[in-house]
Amino acid sequence: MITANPARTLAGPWRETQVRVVCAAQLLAVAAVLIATAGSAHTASFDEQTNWLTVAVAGLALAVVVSAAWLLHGRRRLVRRRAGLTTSIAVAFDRPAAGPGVHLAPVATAQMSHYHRETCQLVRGKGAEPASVIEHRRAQRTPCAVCRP
Amino acid sequence: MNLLRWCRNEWERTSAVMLIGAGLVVFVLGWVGQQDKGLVTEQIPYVVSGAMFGLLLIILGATIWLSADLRDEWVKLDRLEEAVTRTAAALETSESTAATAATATPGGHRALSAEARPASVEMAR
Repeated sequence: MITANPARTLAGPWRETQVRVVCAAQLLAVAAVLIATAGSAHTASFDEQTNWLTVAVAGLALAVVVSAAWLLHGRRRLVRRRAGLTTSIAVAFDRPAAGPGVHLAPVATAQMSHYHRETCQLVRGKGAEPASVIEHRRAQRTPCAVCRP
Repeated sequence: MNLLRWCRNEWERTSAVMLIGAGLVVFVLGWVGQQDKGLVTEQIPYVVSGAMFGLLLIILGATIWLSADLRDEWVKLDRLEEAVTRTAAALETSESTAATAATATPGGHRALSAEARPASVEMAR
């Protein structure tokens, strides 16, 4: 049964608190670079300018790290949700024979403890028969870790 | 007119383009500004304001653009999930109706044997 994703009400793969934290961190980075700009422009001392340059580099590094974490987190949630939806579709609409000689349903032989995609090399030439995921689960079979049906 | 509408609809990408453009401008201004400065202490402010700040703006713009891509895909998954849920519900309804009709007819119990029973009917149990 397909269940509604609790995160679907959000505008994107991020939660509001994450949006706030990332915005605050990026503002901090911008502020650091701007302050370093003003600080380095108002001193002629090389040592002091080096310090301000360090502040600017720290701000830039903060922006890079926060951006990377933000994008990676969003991408990870998207990938997980896509995988969950694919599984839901497979369970809800699992029907053998999508076309001549092509089966959507995973396959296995009676002796197997895992079920596989029809194209999985572990079942090639073994005469595995397609069946629904429910039937495989009833037979105490688990998904193949190689082909991930 | 269409461009204005696009900018309003795609405000994230618009702001991303503006940030990246501003970053490039700042970058070039910093480059030009430091060229005629002979002392390192005169060049460092341009490095900080031009290179660092320009780079920061470009990074922010790129992040916003990529975030918009991820959010678009998330919204597409929302629509897809709704469509799948609707279709699955309609399919289950039609199958349960067909199963009810089959049990009402003589010999209909054969149509509901374990082999012929649809997976979605099994799932509904």
